[in-house]
Amino acid sequence: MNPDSVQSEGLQAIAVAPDTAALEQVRIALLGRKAPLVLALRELGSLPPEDRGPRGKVLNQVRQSLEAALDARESELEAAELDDRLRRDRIDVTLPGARVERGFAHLIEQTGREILEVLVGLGYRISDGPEVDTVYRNFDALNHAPTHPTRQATDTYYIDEHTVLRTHTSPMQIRTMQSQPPPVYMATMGRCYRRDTPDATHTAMFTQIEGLAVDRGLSLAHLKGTLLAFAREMFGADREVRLRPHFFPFTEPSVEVDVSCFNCARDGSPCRVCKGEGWVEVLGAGMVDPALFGYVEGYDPELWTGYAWGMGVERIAALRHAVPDIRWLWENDLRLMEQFG
Amino acid sequence: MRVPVSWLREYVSFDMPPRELGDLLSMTGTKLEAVHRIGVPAGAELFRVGRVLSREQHPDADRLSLCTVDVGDGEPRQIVCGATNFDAGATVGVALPGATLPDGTVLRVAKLRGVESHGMMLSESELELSGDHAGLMLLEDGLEPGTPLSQVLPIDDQVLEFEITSNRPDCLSVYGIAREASASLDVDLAPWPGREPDASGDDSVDSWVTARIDAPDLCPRWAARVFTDVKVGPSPPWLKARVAAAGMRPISNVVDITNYVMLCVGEPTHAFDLDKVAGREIIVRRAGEGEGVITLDGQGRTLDTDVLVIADAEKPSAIGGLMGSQWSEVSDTTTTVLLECANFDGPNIQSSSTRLELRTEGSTRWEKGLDPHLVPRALVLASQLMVELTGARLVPGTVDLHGQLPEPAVVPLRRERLELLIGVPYEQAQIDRALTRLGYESADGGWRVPTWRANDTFREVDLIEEVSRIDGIWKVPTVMPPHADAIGKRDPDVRLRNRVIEVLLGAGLSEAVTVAFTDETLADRLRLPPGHPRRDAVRVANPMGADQALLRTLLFPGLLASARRNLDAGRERVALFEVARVVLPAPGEELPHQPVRVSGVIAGRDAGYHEIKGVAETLERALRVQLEVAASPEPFLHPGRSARLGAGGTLGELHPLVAREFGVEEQASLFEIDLAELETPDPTPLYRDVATVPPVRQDIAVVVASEVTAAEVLAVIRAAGGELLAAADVFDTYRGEQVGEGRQSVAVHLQFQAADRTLTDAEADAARETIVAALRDRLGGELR
Repeated sequence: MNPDSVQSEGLQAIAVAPDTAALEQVRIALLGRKAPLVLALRELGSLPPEDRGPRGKVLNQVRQSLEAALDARESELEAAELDDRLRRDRIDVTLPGARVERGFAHLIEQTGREILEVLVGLGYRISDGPEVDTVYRNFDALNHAPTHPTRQATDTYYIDEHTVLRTHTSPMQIRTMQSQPPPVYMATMGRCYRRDTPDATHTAMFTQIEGLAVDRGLSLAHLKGTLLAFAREMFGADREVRLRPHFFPFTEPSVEVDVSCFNCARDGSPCRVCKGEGWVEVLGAGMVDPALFGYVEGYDPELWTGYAWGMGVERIAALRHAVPDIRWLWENDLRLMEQFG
Repeated sequence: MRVPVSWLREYVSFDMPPRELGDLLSMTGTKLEAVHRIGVPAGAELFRVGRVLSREQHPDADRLSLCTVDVGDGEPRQIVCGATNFDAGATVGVALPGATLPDGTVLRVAKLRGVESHGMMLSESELELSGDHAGLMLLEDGLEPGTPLSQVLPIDDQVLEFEITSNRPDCLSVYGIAREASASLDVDLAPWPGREPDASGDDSVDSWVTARIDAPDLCPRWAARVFTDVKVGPSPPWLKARVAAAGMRPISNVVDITNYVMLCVGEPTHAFDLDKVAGREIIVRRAGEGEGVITLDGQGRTLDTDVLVIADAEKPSAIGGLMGSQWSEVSDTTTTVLLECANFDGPNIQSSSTRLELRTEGSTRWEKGLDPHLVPRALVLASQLMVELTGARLVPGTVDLHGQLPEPAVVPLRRERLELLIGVPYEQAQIDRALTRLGYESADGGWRVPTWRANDTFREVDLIEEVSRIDGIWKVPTVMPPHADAIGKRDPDVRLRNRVIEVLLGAGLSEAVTVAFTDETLADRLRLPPGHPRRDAVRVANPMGADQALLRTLLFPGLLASARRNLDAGRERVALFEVARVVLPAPGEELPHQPVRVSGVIAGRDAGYHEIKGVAETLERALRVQLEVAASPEPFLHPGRSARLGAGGTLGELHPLVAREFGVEEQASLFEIDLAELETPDPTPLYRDVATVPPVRQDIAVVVASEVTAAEVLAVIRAAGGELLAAADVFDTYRGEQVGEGRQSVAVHLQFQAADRTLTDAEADAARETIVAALRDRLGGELR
């Protein structure tokens, strides 16, 4: 076996191997168990001692050079083959992806949770309460006169003479003050019920968020500050709020709260949200009527003052997302829900 | 409350456009709802008062007359006219050429049968003041020809419509709104409307009528006057126009006067034909049980002893505060009128009005509680109008029955308390101004409340409200509350609810909201047998309809209905959930039980038992709770594919008959469980090593009878596995030839692990052998 020719022919074969499979065959032919070079190396031991060194050195040099060439050629071929595969693997990247099923949050609920998130940030404790409640908590302890119109069976759902489907989340004001001493910073969200004939802005069952704060020295200015923070979180950073006097039995003074329109230039031109008024009514509020403190223990009206508010979640959701008819929100039509979830 | 601006201006003067005044009142507590224009669309200056100078027959038309009319511009005009109810000297309204009538017609100089007509004399219907088109509208004679008609009639006017809150019946009147305007503008308010007319004659009211109150609790005050020589007829145009502009229909002068007084000062009044009042006797009493009356609307009504009637010697002559009877109705032939001004108990009127389903302009005022001191003011105004407009004689004297009337309270007001609550500094002068304009009087120890506000204002905080709404609320600054001790957080049940919602959204279910009402048929649709505990529901006493008579005890029926709608909209598969309260009867307790539930429904394709159970298990894993699942039938679920979930929940495929009932035939499955069952017992789990001591994993397949459940197999494995068994999960089951009839193979992943060391194969094998032996002994299981 002539090492030089093995080397030169071997390097030649390596250089022309067209792919990694052919190269593997070349490797076996050159360096496999039966390859002449390997056999020659194995036979070194049978050579006379003085020949072993020089012969071994030559053969090992040949082997090393072949190995190096094989490795180099392999890297080269692998790179080329990878390039080739990647080229062949090319797909239309604009085709749609595999669909992952996920659920969509309901617009009323997610709007409510977002509002509660703001209120947690403002220091309110979020509580939940029952929807069937006593006439006492829904009306009496909330200072509703015996003749207050909403008490009528035309307006309120009764279970019996002592029990109603709550007409607002305000019974939670009483429940909270019955269960803890002041100070209080409480908010709640839940379903309420009124015997309204459904229309675009009313449903017999609806969702309210209520807030109650009782502390030393609270004033209407604190209510306004709180609601301004709420309005800016929900409707945009440059909103303003406006208080308009109103009447609710359980607050005194009572106000309706308008937010500056977030939809238009507020210059009186036609606007589907504010009808050109520049202001949008979003909730009712006021200073807690001291009469309420008379129904609970430990709330001296000379020491403690407070404010409360209630808002319709459907209305706020409808305003923010320009939903023209809140009855749609109760249909659970996924084609709608997917727009918001 | 509809307030014609021209009427309002009689009591308060202002320069700003009416809408601006309305917006100002909105900011002081009387919310402007709308502004309506009434009268002619434009060009009101072309409508004038005219005097007919001559009237002659038209030469070529029998039905037309030829008139000369002075409209104040020097030269009388020739006007052709078809009406016949007037003569020379009549004072009329004239529209000049170029004028636009309310219906949009533009008037031109016209030739009528060859004669030019330079204008048109107007009927009430042409001005849309009333439906009267029988003849010309005749004005009072004293008016100067040429006077703009708009100074006489509201033909170029606006009506401000206000929302009046239930505590302000005093604002259900033009004068009451004027008072609010006076305070808001800080300008003077005219004195109460009405000037006492002279009575005449030697008789006195007592000789005409006797009256007594037998029910003083329901009628604290009853007053009346008598008018003779009354000529019932149409009201003058101005009165008709005002009543109509305020939203009521003109009827006759006497009825219009009673309505006018109510609209003007807020006191409903009633006119009786005294000749039809039996015995000329009035008894204000409770009705007899079952007593009947035919009211002015022609309806026969049966009364009870809680209804107040104004009776004569024989029968009810009116239902107090609600409506008069036909028996004593004022008609064209009436000549003697008994005019009632009373005060009725608000709560009683409200309940009678509800029970009798009779709501009137009067009852909506009475039910809010009116001021008994309004009675004399209303009587004066009504008397003046009766005398001036019906030619009546006022009989001397007034019937006025009442006990002790409430005295106005004196309420203290601390300025510092005002400033504390409103958060704005005040000068004493601001306080004085606001309260004085509203009719409060400074008195020893505070402010004397005006009688018309007595129901609503009796505490310091009520005065604070009054001052702040007139002066202050608009300038309240925005300040964040101190709340030094408040930490924002969610109660644990609210956190749990949110977590459940997150998990289910992640599991591919969409959040739904469904209504809480259901009906009697639901229990049958769910195949609940008679006496089934789930039939027991809380009933609404006054539902809007029979289909909403019950409160739901289950959430999933609503979800099924929503699923159906989405399938109809073309979806192949719908997955919905709801977290909400159900209402369960709890006899003997203050309130029914109202647990918060979560329910999930899958309908359409891939909506079987395993899919819904996978959702329930996802919840279980995410919340780290263990919910036992055991086969358990529900009438509404597939008997072979339903289970109890946890202690009280349910899980399964919908029964095919129920599925058909709900229109979800393809496939539907559901779960429903109280949220409380998902409350994790271990909210703060401690670290458990998963890396340093690797587990030994072994799989076994055991062949057992096909009735044996996976849960039973796992229970035996867990009991036998001892401390070293870290986990056991069923991953496959097989039934078929290889295991034989009536048998099944259950394949289980086993995981052995010790806390402190890596187990040897021998240890794991030994544990496994114990398990295999237990399966053999307990379940007759053989390894496959």
